Amino acid sequence: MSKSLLTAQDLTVQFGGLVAVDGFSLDLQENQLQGLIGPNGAGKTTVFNLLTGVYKPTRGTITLDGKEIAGLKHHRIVKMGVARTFQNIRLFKGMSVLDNVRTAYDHNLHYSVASSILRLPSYWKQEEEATREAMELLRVFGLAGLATSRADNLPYGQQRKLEIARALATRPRVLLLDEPAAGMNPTETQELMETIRTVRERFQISILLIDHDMSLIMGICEAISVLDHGVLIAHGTPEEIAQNPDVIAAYLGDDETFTEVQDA
Amino acid sequence: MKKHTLASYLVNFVAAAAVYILITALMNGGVISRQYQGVLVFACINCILAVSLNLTTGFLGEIALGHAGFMSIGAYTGALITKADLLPGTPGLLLGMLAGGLVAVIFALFIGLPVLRLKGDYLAIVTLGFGEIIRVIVEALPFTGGAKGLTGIPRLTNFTIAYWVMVAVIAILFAFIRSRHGRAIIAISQDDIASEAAGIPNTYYKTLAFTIAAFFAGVAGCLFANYMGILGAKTFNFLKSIDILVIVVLGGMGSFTGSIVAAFGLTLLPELLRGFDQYRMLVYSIALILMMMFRPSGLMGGYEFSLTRLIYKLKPKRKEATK
Repeated sequence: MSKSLLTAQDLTVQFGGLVAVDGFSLDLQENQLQGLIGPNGAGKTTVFNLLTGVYKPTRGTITLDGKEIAGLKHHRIVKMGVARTFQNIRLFKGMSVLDNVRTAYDHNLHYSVASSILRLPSYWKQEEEATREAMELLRVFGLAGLATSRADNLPYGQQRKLEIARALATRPRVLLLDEPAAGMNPTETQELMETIRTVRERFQISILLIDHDMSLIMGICEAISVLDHGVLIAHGTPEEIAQNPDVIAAYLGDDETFTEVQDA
Repeated sequence: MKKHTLASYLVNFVAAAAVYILITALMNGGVISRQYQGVLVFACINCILAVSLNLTTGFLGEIALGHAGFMSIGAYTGALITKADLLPGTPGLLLGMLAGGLVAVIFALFIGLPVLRLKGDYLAIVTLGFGEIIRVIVEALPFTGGAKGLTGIPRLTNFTIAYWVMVAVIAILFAFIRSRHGRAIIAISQDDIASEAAGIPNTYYKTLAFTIAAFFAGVAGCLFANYMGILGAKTFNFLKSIDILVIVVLGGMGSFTGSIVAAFGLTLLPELLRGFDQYRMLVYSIALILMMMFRPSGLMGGYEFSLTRLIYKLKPKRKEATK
């Protein structure tokens, strides 16, 4: 049926004595929407940082479409097709909305320093193309009218959207969204759900989603992985996850862990 | 769109030419004395230094304290090449500027490649040391004239050359910053994690900005050497680097317009205050302190003056017509 696009095996990273992620595995298929959940500090964002090359894994492999990408630099992995957003929005605040998106076209533009200084035809042609594509993306997210405003003047929800638009501008095959619904009210979350669905259909990409909002995760994900203390404790469909005793224990605690804490 | 930008290039070129004609007319008419002609040449050179440093410090956001070091490399390279008299007159000077710039680029790559991989203010520390090392090396080498200085450099630089080189450098840097390269450099200064996530190779662009700045510092150095006729290594000390940095900070980090205005202002101001003699440096310092108090982001902040925009603003009806 569908084939694996982004996979990870035995992914482990250690910071000094702390094993932040231990033996994590992932199998994200083409055009699949997967969720990654877990209590605070479980290591979800660390997984993202490993997948995108911000951290180098101590052990384990990551493959994109069969090619090994573990240990490559962040921007190289982005170029190969893994884009991401950040938990705390990271926009180029002083730049215009349009320039935020156009910046992400950099590796798809090929004119040289000489042609930008001399304004050669390649500059005009490629810039025009990038601008047109960027505007199209902004239109998808309903931001086209704000193209010239400064990114930090946008309201919170639109900043989130702009960040997703910027990630899509790198023409990814896999999009990693780190808590896109954080700080959003239920209506905004609903809207975001729609946006994520549209994005997947329109751009034909796979999405891996971190969030704490269970209605969002359960509502749109086809598969969910649960992480606790850096260890993958469950993987399955939303229904399976909702009934998994380990997951419930990780979120709410159980008698055993309670007594352990007391003993310590 | 394209027609509109062509028109704006033309407008800017005509404006640059008009300023040039005005100043030369004043010089020939005797309104600008010989002494001030020299000051204007220095202002042009400082302007080249400031706009190029602004690329590193303003747009890229990396503080560099060794710009005078690159100027020194360009000055000595240019001086030795023009002294060798490979080409006569202005072409020889152009060759000297090119060589001076390129040698500065080699040194910039040498320190930029390892240092710019790091995050943080390491560039400031390394360039600070670099500037001093270059000065000491120049004093120790035999062919640079050592501590006695290098003499007999042909005096090929005049106001015309300095002015047009300055205009060219400003035009090049404006074009550069308004391209994918410029966008990437500004993006890195805004958020270097997000820029990597947007597919930008940070180290490459940081080194690119740093070497381009060094190239033009070298060019400015060559102009300087061929104006002075003699060179001493002490001219390019730490204070010279700070002077250039002050121009950039005062003009506004990330504004070429600011650097241009501040370069001319800060070069002309001490001369204009010559009448006050011993109070001159005092007034200069107070002017700096007041600036920092009331305009901490610099004269222009990140704002760029645009002649075409001004013309459109003044003639709102014409705007519709040209569209």
